[in-house]
Amino acid sequence: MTPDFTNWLPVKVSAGAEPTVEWCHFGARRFRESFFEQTVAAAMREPFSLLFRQSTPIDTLLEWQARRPGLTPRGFVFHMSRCGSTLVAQMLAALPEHIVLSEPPPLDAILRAVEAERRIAWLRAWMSAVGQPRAGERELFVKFDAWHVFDLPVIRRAFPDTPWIFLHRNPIEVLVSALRGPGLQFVPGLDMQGMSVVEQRTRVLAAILAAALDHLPAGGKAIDYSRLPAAVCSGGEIAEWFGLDLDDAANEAMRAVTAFHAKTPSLFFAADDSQSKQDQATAEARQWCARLLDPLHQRLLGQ
Amino acid sequence: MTMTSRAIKLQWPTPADPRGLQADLARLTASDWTPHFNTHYFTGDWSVVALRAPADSQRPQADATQHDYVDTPVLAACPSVQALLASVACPLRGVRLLRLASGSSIREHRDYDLGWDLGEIRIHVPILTNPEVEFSLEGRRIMMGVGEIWALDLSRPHSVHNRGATDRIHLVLDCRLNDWLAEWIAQGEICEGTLRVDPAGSRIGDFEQFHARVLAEPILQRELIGVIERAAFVQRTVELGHSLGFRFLAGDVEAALVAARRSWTATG
Repeated sequence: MTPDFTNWLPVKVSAGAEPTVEWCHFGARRFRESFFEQTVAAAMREPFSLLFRQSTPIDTLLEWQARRPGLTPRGFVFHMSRCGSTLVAQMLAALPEHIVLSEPPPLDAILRAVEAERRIAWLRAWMSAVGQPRAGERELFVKFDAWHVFDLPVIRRAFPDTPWIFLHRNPIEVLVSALRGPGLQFVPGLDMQGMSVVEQRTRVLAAILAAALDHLPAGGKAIDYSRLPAAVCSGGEIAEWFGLDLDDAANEAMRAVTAFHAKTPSLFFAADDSQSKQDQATAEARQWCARLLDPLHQRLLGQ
Repeated sequence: MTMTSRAIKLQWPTPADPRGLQADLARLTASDWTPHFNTHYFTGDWSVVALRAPADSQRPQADATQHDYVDTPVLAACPSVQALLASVACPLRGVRLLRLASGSSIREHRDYDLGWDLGEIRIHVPILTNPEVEFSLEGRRIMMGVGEIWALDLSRPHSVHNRGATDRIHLVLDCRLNDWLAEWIAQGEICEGTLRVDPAGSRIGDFEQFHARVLAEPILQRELIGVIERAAFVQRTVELGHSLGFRFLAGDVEAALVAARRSWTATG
């Protein structure tokens, strides 16, 4: 018989030949931190959750899904990184009826799983398990990692009815921000040896934008950073695309989030730091951006 | 070669006198005992009386080996210990009484300043003990009886759980290896110990069984979920285990929490 995983979540998936899932007691804890991983770390500070974990074969997810199907995802957020995606996720998470999973590592592990033909079943089953209402939640959203835009075909096959958006931003602003932080790691088939850091970051971003452009005609919606935060609230493009029914209190709760910078809560959200980012761009960054990113971004704006 | 063994029972020329040593203990007062300095390793009460200590030390119970050692005033009140020490013909460093109270545990650790390779030999002489003291050396249980004299290689991983109702008190001698001691060790009885299986049905493995049962029974989980503060959680876990007939100690829970954190971090 399948164990009862009520209030337990599959917080880790180990890839490999025989993937396993690690379950941890979550109770009614909500995913309010900026990233899935941070909420899991908070749960692990409770001694019960730390001490009483369970490890099962990954197929246990399928049994649990059959026994207790969870919410069907209401919306997916893909993005080019550093373009407001965390802000969107945090606004959605401001409503208690929403479960928002932000860049969950288990999804990445499943997408990288060795056994390709079972990925779709595992994706659905993992989503079903984390999409269990534990405190009356009714909607489930996922913000993916930036590189998951390359995995859109398999994700779309797993969840054909879930609307998705691709967030983007003026590429020179993204590039300046990307050059300040750690780089994106993963681009299929891109050999970056011998490239300058600027060229590497540019080519990664270009690959992400190109993949988004490839997949958007099949049913996604491109949203530019300039549309935030209004796009998430009533009448905005994201709210409409996801079919959100938001009352005044919900709009207010989401707008309250925008008072804080999404990744650095101590900083006020700079509604327009675009100018300062553009001012910091080097000549090399501008050249690469104009050559590879601007044409793709123009096409996205025209979608 | 015997020096590769973990534990060797010695037959010294003058056997220890268990009744006399116990009489020595009875002459000590509560204030003679001080908590062991190494608080990271134990749960409960692990206390020390120094009988020989470094002359210049501010920590009379310390394991240091770099000092001149002198008798402490307390030794004068322990004639049976004095008699035993008089029969020892190798250089003596620290001599202590170590008390692990009922219900207390010393987590697995190594004493890197010891080791038979280094010529630093620690001798244990149990004065008070009970059958539910579980001393493990490299995962093997060694049963040490009152009045026996044991040479132990404590540079290897070892732990002690006193699951019994009475205190465990050992006389502990730190000796410098010389020909005399090497000869007694060579003639000693090598004890391999028992792998962690207990024919008497003792409580080794009780915590692991309890852990599995809690995972299988949500009704038990509810007794522990929501106890956020660590010390309270440990206590509640011990109580729940005891109420179900499992016998483990706070130290088992603490060690399991440390191991759980390590395995959680290790699997990234």
